[in-house]
Amino acid sequence: MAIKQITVPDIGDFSDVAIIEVYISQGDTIGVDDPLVSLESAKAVTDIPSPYGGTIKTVHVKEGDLVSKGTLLADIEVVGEEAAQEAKAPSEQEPDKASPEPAAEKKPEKVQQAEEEKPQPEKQPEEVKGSKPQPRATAGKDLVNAQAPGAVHHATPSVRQYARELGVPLESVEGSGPKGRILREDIQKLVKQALGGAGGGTTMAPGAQFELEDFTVYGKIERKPLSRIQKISGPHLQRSWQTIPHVTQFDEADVTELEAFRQKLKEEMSRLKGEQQVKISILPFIVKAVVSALQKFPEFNSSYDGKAGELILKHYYHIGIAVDTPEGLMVPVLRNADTKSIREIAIELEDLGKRARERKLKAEDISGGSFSISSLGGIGGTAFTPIINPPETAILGMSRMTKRPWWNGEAFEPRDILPLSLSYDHRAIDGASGARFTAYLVSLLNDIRRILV
Amino acid sequence: MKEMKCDLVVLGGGPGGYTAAFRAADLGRKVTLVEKDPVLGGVCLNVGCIPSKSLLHLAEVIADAAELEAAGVSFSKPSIDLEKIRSHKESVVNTLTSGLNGLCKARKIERIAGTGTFLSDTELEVETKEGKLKVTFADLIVSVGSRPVQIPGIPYDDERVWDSTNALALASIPKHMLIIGGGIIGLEMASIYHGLGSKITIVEATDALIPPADRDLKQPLLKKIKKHYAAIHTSTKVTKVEAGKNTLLVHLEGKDVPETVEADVVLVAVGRRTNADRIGIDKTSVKMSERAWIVTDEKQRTNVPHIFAIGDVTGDPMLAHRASHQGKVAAEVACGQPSAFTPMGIPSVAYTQPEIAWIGLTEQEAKARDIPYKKASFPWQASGRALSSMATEGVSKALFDPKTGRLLGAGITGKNAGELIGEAVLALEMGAVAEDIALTIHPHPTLSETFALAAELAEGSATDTLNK
Repeated sequence: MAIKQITVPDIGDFSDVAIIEVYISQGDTIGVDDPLVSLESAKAVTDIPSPYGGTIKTVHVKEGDLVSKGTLLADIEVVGEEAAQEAKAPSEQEPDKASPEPAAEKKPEKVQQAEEEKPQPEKQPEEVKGSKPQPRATAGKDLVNAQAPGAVHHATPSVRQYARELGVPLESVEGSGPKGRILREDIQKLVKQALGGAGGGTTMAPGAQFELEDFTVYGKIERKPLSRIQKISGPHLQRSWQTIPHVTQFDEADVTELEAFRQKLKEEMSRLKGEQQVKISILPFIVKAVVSALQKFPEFNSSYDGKAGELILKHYYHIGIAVDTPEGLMVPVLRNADTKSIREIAIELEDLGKRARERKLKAEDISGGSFSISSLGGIGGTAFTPIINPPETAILGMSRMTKRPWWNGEAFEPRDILPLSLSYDHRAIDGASGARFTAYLVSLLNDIRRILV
Repeated sequence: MKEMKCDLVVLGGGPGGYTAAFRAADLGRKVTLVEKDPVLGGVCLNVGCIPSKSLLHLAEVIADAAELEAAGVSFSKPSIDLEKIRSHKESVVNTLTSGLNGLCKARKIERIAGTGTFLSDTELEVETKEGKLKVTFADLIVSVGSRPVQIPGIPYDDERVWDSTNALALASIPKHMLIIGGGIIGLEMASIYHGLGSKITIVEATDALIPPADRDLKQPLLKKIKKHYAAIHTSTKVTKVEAGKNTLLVHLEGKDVPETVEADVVLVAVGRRTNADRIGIDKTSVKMSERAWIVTDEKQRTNVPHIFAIGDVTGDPMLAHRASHQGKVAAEVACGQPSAFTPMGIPSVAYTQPEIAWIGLTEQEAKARDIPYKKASFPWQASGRALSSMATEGVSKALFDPKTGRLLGAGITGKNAGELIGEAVLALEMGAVAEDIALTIHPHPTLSETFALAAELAEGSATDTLNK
């Protein structure tokens, strides 16, 4: 019979994290990977699973305690003789009840198993030993982490074992060591990120997610499958959010004159014959203004290459336009916007939007963007924080244009005000540049003639 | 029937079983070890690896001494004191088994000397000298090993028909020994008895000796034994062995082989089969494969979560070092640790003269499975140490992934190849690329250099030979 001490595992460089819940108490029988305590760090809540199965003898922590790596959580009596007696007891005392179960498991095809076939445990050991039936976390338990020969990201045997201990599947780790080697630190970083600690430079597993509870405890639920687009864009957005230090700069543009000009164009259009009629929204003007701003501030039309220590400036202006479709968000790309007229852009945007909604976009329609624009103006809102579409370094968000009292120096007058939200990669662009870019963009939108200057 | 309640039971005390028992005890479990023999160590220690290596050592020194004649040193023909050799071998085995006994006691592991068979998923019946014992357990690790395969048509009761155990008992030195089976065990026995003065004939059913090893690795050995042995018949079957008064008459079936061969002793070394059929597995829900191998996952768990299986009883390759590593994994998993058996390779060694050792991917496997590889091999004729040690029959070979450059497999033939392969195993597990191996300074002059030189060849940077 062995008493084991359970301590906070080595999950990287963090300390003094608060315990927000203690799941165990003295005398509890738990299985391997059953949650012991819940920790709350800066941004997330994480359960610490038990490395052993057995009976809790002493709990050394309580809610609100601050813990670090190595803090003693509990003493546990590892499954031992008692379990043997439990397993034995029924057949002595209740022969009728005990015997049918093992008998039912005996299957005639026993000998016919293929060699390659891995056995599926027919019941959980916890059930056999009469403890909690459903461990909430199962990550580490069946994790194998075999190393494929010749693989790009190699983990040595000790690193494979360490990853198993923390329940990290090797395939979710990108090696940062020489020749793509997975280091102990890579695994720590990943776990640290999952814990919500200070974000490191590693990439999160695309499928990484928070542990889900059994929500049926709280009420009725249903599961809705993610759309194909959501499945693809989810990890992309997550990666962007986690790896790029985002800053969002807000500004407002007085587009009263621009709107007046647009209304005039609209009126002229209505007098044209059917085919020549083009619906011109404010977006083509924004695109043109953005291209002018990008030409003046080229780092907003770039990609960040941290490895090389360089910015890749692009001498083309392919503008991605976020489109809301029934399937989810799509970002078709308007190519060479600098060479196109307002009218051409309007026609092309309408076509791209239509094809996006009809799911008829081709690969070249959604690739090669150098800057993106996301407009929620048609729906509402005063500002939002768009997520950069990597490998781009910036994205412009537009909210709903409203008529607002605007001080002209002497009096308030009603003006059309368009709120702008520019998110940029702070590694590539500093804060002053961000403010200059939006200020310049606002000046262009105040008087669209400036793009000719 | 007497009854006993146990925590963790290990069934079988070979290298896998005792390792599992020791590890589980070190992790705090109350361990009971059931072993049919009075000593621990199983086949490996008592009638396998260890005694065969102590005899092979003698054979090797005898052969080395004879070869010195060419270098100007002559010895008289060795005289063989069979009884003394036997007691030397036994003292080696005894030193090790008594060491194990001590380690077992120090860990307070309970020993039951007896043959265990299952009664159910939670009970074992152990037949001991004192009578039957019923043992219930919380967890159990099956490590009952394997035994030599027997083929039909052979009078096994005849005391001139041997298996490896008989051969290692060293009852006599036959004038002519015919060995059925040209695998590692057959060839090692051939080395021993050839060294002790027997004439050797080898009969192998497939078209090659040591089938899993690559041809180029076997070449140096074949060249040597073809010269020394009376005959080597591949693609040949033994249809019948007739026990004559003075000799055994062995009937052969194959191309260009004699119909019969007379031998003083026939050694049957055609492989090993598991002992899974002898422990009442049918009383449990544990699943077995068609070849009577117990099926486990990488955690060494059978489909019954509290029953584990390790070593030979789980199938090929039946090697002690595989069993002991699996034993550790099983013990750790049973103690709630997240271990798994996921080696990138399990080294194989034929302790022949010269030795043949390999790890990971072989060329024949790569070809069969269409795995691309880049090969480099360094012949020992170009090694200063091999030349000065009169050990030029050798080759060091390495296979690399053409894309990532990582080591995929390696093979070494030559003196001490079994020792030298350890470096390649480490390189494989560490994910070394050819450049890593080539840039690692190996001492000069050594045989270990040859592996680094093979890596240099792969890199195109070898200076000790011409880069191909």
